[in-house]
Amino acid sequence: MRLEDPALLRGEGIFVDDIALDGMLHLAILRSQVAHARLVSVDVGRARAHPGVAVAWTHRDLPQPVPPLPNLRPHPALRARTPFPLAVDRVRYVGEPVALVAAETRYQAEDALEEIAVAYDPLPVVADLRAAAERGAVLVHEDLGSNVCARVEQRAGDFERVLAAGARCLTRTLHAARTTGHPIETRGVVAATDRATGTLTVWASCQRPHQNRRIIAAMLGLPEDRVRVIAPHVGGGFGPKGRFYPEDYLVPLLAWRLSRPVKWIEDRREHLLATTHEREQIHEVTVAFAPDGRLLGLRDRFLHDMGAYVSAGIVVPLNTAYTLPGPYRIPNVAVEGLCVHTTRMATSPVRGAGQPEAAFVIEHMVEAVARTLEMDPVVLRQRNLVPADAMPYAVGLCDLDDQPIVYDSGDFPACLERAAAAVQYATVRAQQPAIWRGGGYRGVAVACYVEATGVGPEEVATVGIDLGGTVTVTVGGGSQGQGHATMLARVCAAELDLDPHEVRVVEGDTAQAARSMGTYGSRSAVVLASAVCLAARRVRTRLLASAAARLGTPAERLELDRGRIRPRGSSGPGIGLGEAAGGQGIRENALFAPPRPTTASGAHAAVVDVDPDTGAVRIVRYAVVHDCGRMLDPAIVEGQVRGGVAHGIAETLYERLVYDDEGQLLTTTLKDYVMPTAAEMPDITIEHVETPSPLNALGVKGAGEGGVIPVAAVLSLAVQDALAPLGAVLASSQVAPEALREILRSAGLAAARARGGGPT
Amino acid sequence: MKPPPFDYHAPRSLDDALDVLASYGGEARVLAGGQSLVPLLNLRVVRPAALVDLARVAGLRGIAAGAGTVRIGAMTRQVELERTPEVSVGCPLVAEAAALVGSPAIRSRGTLGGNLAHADPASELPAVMVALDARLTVCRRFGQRTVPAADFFRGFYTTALEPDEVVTAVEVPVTPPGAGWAFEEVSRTRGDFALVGAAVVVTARGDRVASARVVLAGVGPVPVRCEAAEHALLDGREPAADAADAARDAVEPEADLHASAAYRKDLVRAVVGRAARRALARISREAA
Repeated sequence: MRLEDPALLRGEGIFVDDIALDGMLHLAILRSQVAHARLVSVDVGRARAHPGVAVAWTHRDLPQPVPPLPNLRPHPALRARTPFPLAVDRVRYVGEPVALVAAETRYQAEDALEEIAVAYDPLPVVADLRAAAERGAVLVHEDLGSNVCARVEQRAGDFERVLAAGARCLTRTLHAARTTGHPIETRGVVAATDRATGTLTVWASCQRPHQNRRIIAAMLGLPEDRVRVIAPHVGGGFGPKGRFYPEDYLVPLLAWRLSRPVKWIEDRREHLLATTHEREQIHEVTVAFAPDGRLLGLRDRFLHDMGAYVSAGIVVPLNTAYTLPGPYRIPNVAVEGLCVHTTRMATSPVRGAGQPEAAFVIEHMVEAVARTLEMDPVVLRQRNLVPADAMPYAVGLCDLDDQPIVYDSGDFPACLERAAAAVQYATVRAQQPAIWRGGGYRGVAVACYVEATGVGPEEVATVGIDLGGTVTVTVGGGSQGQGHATMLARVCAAELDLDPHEVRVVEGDTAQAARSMGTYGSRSAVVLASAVCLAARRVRTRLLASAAARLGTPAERLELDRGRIRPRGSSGPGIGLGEAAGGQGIRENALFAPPRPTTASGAHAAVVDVDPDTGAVRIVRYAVVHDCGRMLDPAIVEGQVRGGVAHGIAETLYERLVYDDEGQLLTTTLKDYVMPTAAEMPDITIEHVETPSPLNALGVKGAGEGGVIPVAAVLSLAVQDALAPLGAVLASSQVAPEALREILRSAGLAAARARGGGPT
Repeated sequence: MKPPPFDYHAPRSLDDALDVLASYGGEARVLAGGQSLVPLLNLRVVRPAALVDLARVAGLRGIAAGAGTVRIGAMTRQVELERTPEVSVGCPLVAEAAALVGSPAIRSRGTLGGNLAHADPASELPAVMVALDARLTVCRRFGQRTVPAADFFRGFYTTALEPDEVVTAVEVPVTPPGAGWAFEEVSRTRGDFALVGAAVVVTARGDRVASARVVLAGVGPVPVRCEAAEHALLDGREPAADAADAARDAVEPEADLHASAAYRKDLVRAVVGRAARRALARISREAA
């Protein structure tokens, strides 16, 4: 059990919605019901008169001038248009906040929303990604003059020269589809002022409390030290909770202005409509290859759906662009991505952040080359993987910070070999002809991936021992349920020869930790844990020095053992940590700034059956071989991997965010947005390869997102393989039973025509 | 997602429930297990002036085997249909289909009467009740009537209930010994709404199928009896396969977000074929 678990299992967790303060108002947001329109008028007069209503505001009622929300990740290539907290004179997606009501109860607030009269002057909708990118398209932001707000580019070698030399090529169009993260706890914010100290306290279900403090303070015009942001227990984040939303400003604003506590809890419909999405891309991709299967070049031109506004810069398309070669040696790369606005919810990183899209694309291309050359796909991959002895390996492309990408460590071929073996790849291949002859459809596939983890720039940790001997680790962080406390306590305890249960971990509170970037990009095990490790080592040194003086024994002859310090070999009581720490206690800070991201990697393999009558996909076997370097806590790593795979299975086989031609989201409840449950999950075999990272003292690499990255690739390829006798080629990251049944039906009709009989 | 205001009544007797229901002149809704109604309230799709909660009304819950029928009180929880011997022996198709309704948590709250009165066209139990010729007992102030299941479902979420009426019980004929039965459905996930479902009941005389009943869920506004498939079960050379094809050709489902009409027809073929095969296998097992 993790250190966090007893309280959570007993129902003693404190989530934002558990916070109830005297006199608290409840906020409800009126959201646009149309995708694109001029706002002619918003009349909140009747809502103000509704029982229990404290305020009903539109944009005009906010303190002027109203700042737009910030772009969290500026980039020189990006012309960023961010939304205002409440729409000013135009709405650009269904769900965009138009007005707010704060009332004594959420019921009254929602009742009052119905009293608000909005007049929309509809504008043409920009619902199609391809059409949006074309010249002459209706513009989402007219002042940009185009829906393309950024162009990302990656180049290595000279792809054109490969083409000119007459290499064989394959071109495909591939579509990655829109999904989102689904934390069991939706977003939520509570804010309250303290008149005595003149401070504002904000509890938010978020991944980056320090970021939110900075933005809230700036938007309210307060010094940062008067704003405290606390991320209490957070029930899942998956990326979207790392963004800054209108409500993250509106709730503190109301609390500050009205001097009353205010609460807003996102409901599930709002989560689907107005929490960021990801993954929608269209790729036109060409690979060049040698007759022996070596990949010679890759060219990709892709469109990335930004949605209506910029939220977290262009992290997703940049990640996609530089991840495309993945674990393969491809000497010539030419990638161009256009970042395109549409009248849909904004997109931003969701677990994997552009890397699942890249893995989907490159794995489909690799498979296509294997099919074309009639080579086994595993053999072809092995021929192209970066070998272990090539580490560190310079990819030739640049990362988010425009630094050259160097894979620090890994054994990609070993991961692939073991993943294939774990699903009995060779056996399935041998059995397939008989299964197909019998009318069954069984397929097998593998997919490899790399993941940039442990991104910088830095984290700070404090390890302290007070007079009573209590050891406390303090970090900024912001755990969303990953088990940071368990992991960090272990790291600290290992340095101080303690039991992890004796280490207290304080996290997610800007009043406790001076600064932090927060939790995202599979960085905490690398960056936070490394900072804790360094701080704990400093504490150890000081403890031993202090004990040496007290015991009259040189520090190098002392040992730490379960909370006691004594001369090595002595059986005496020695002294306790509190005593050694002395009257002032010991407190050490350490900063860890990784030189560059660590490269986690791995391979997944899947065996699937397709039901010929219904198109339903059953996962027969699923295996993951995962390399996140040295594992700080194998149970937590496996939980992350398994959760990532479940996320990937969900977005490949079940979950759909469907917008219609009018820009209406059709999947606004969990009745229509179909999330799988434990009943849909296969057994997942997880094996580990541990190649330590040379980039940090612990040898760790991140583990939070790798689980999801190759899932759409491996499942869609396994299904494609199952339907190989029908010549099926799948082009979408979403595998719908209905589409598979369509393939089967067409094939049945064709076969029947060939036989001159009726359909089967 | 909070409902607009409504009055709430929790009567303790059926008479009181019917009185208060009538007093709202059609503006009140009956609350049974709440598994469909409460989400609709929260989404503000339905906006009744009042809810009349049947949870405390005596005598509406329970299962009793009688002469030739199993009587099931309207407030009987779906989980009880799965687990009560009188149901699994007397009308086992009900038990089999009930296990497919929602998730265990939903079935622990959801009721038979609520499920039928809600009349979701994709729901399992309405199709089963039509297949089994069940009869619904319906009460109003100063009156009671019996409605055959086949006449109860009138359209999408629409039944023969008048606004002041309540379903109080369902009488399900005992399935005769030697009969075969099965319920099959295709849903996107376990516990999700069925895309289509099929209830099949067959009886045999000697080695011939003597009677057949095929009722489909999810292909129209109400449970749809498929006589073409029934004929195929009686006369077909390959009864299950023929019934499956006949059902596919007979139905005219509509497209929605989750399935096109063509896909639904394919699924009808799949579920009828599977249910018919299992039902027929059960007869032969019983006969042996």
